[in-house]
Amino acid sequence: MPDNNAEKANYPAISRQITELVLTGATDHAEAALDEAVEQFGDLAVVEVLEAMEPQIASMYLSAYDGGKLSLATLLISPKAWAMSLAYFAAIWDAEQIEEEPEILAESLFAHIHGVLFASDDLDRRAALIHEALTTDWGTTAFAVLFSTAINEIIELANDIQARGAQAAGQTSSDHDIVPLALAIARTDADAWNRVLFELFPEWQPGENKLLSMSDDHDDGYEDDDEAYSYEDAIGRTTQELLIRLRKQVPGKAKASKHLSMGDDIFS
Amino acid sequence: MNIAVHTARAPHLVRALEMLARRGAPSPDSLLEELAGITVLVARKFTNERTADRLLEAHYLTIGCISLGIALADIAHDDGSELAFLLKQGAEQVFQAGFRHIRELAGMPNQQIVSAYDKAPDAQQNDIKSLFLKLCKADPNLKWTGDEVYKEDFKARLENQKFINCAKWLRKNHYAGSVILDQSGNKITEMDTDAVINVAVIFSILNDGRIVARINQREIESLVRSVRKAKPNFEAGWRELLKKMPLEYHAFLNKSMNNLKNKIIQKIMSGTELKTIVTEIQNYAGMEQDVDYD
Repeated sequence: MPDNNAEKANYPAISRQITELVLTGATDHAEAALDEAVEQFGDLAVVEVLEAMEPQIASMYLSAYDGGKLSLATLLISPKAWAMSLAYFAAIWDAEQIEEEPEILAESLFAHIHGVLFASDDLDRRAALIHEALTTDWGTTAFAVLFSTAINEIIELANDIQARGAQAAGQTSSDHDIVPLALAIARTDADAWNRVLFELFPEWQPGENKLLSMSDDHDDGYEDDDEAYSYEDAIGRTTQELLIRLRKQVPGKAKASKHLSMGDDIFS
Repeated sequence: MNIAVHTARAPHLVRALEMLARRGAPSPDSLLEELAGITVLVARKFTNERTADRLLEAHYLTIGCISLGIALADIAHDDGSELAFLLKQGAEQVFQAGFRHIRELAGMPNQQIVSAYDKAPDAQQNDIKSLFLKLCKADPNLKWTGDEVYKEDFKARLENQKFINCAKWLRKNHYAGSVILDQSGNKITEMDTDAVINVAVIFSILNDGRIVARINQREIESLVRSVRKAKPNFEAGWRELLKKMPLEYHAFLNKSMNNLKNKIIQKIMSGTELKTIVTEIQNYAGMEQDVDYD
């Protein structure tokens, strides 16, 4: 399969070189090779190289450049390729990490997604990235993980958007980093926004019931059960639950079929 | 009024697989692999293979399209023969056959008017897609009637096709040569089928042996004058017109004749004011009347 992909690209040698460098963990060298490719062949060449890269390799590469450090790949990867690579982000998490340090995992996921989305000020690119990522199940879950780390802000924002529309909303009582990210989604792609909210609050019916976070009912639930929440309220999924959901969506290796398929010819 | 008779039943593919299960034989791996493979291809092309609910939709479309392939195949239609057909051909072949039926249907006109846009590639692609989504969505737990709907759609489009061919025949045999260009020399890409037939019917009452498919206002005026002078038997004129035309088109003309007989034809034969008649014929002739600029 890797050979297949590399041959399709116009720069098979560079693709293979970068794949190997990433696999050996030498992301700095891979970055240097990309840098050279930009000098020699221009931005578009690198876009193509990244496109041809297998998504799990792209994911490894991108995850080496989170937050502080910026990679060329962060700026140049195509929205579709990034969306595919997101599927593999959770591949290295194990059950113990999810159990014991969900915040750290969510934090690294946030750094990654925020880094890619806000690496450049190109709004069209940001909209395309959001759109592609949120037309996948895993992308939707990944964004829901981020939202779950600031659940009260998200509830406030969701109610605000429900009441006043995405363009008017946005004044929240908090300056959490998640708010601009959430607003960017709600403003560029309303469907995407609804999908993430649904992933986070599967029981929410706008106008019918009220959003609640788990932490809320721990706080006041014990004192006054009846008033704090009713069983109809939409209680959000926790970060941990969502991390497990995301981990489960990492694609496994497909068994190669012996059967010879007609492929796209079935539509001819 | 015709009431469509639907026999409610599960999709053909589902019934074939149930038959397989009843026989107790293990289902061949290749069949299941094929079904999964087709579902992915359908999702990639029509829905979205990266979310669960769109994959489910593709799954329904796969079931429906294979069922359509089975339903329209030239075989005996009992569960046993349908299963044998599916196993012999393989799911991909049967899906392809079903999809070809969709293509064939999309290739036929879905309306009676010919517009320049009909032949555009994206219009045709859209038609294929919307027909595929409409006819082939088959939830295995629900009844499915996509094949019945297909047959009805096919009949309706065949009728449109004949209707359009009838008007095309009239245009081709227009007395002044085939109707290809309009008066300013531009190629005519559209056709108001109803209007072509009305024009031919109205202008044949003079019984002068001409077939008229496209007109302008002056021709209407001269028609009315000639009719009032010669007082022809309009039904004789119609018989002449029908004699010249292929038998399969007669029904369309007869319908138009019955429709017009007591209306505009009466007015032309009697003394109704010319201006009224011209305006009224314009209504019947629609786009098939060249506009006079004078």
